[in-house]
Amino acid sequence: MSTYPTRQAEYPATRAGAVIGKNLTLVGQVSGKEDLVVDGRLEGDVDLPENRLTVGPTGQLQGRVKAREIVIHGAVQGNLEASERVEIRKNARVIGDLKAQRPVIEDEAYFKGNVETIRVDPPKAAAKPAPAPAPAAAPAEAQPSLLPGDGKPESRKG
Amino acid sequence: MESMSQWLGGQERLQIIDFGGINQHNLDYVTGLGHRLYAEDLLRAYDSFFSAEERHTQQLSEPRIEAFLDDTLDLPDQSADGALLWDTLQFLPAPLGQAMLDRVHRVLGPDSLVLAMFHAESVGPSARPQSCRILDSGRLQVAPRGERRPIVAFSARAIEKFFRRFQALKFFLTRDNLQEIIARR
Repeated sequence: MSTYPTRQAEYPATRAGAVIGKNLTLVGQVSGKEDLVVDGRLEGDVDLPENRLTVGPTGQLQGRVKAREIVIHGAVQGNLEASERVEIRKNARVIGDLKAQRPVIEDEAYFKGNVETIRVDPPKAAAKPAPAPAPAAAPAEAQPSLLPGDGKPESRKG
Repeated sequence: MESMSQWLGGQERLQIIDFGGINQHNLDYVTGLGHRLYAEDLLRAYDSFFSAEERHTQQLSEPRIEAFLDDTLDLPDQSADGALLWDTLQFLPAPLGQAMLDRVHRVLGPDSLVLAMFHAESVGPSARPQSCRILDSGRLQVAPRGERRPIVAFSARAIEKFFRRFQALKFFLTRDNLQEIIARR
């Protein structure tokens, strides 16, 4: 695997990172904290939780991928999971399940498998400070009843 | 499409099959409702699985048909809740189209819905497969895709026979020489 040159000329959005060149075949797991471009053949799982994986038009990947972003121009056989987006570009060929916050599949791409989106709940607004306690305590029967534990209703098995 | 949309919108976490080749509109629509979408381009899969000679003669042996079904739709029995078949089955050789519909029936759970389309008989061999994009719950964009292909003509009676394993069948008004069918498993 060579770290340079990068593929920024061909994939402008790709930052500096590692490249598996056109004439390379790599068998084994890849994990780390660096963007990766696959132009050759990779047989193995890829784990780049904070980075982007790009499979170039000549790239072939067989294995499961977990990354922040995944962009496919070539061929992939395996499940893809991205915490942000997956893009399957025109002429790409992907067989496997896809899970992402924002999956994008261009026309003329071939895709076979299940697609599921990851829903991200919007950040909750900061809780308002509790109002100052009333000078006179409310009658006991008017207070909300508290459940033990975390306050959620208990599930009980009969 | 509207009745299918209403049904999709009123459910949660469904497994939906789309045989038309995935497109961004359908993906956004179905997954936006919180469902899972199993996508396959049935016609492209047919082209790549069967040899040119098999496609030309349309002589497909039973083991080859079975292998194609396993390759194309390998979901467990009764694991899916709906299927968007569009017009794809009409462009498969008749025995394969029937076998595929029977397989769809097998992987769908009870009360699941199927949406299919059939080109009017009057269109004849000039019919081309259509790309169907769900724009919203009431609008479907239909446009030709790919090359012209041999087409199996279906009369209303033939469609009923084709879907004989299903509980109920509804025909909707023809649009662009296409007849929409909703079948309930």
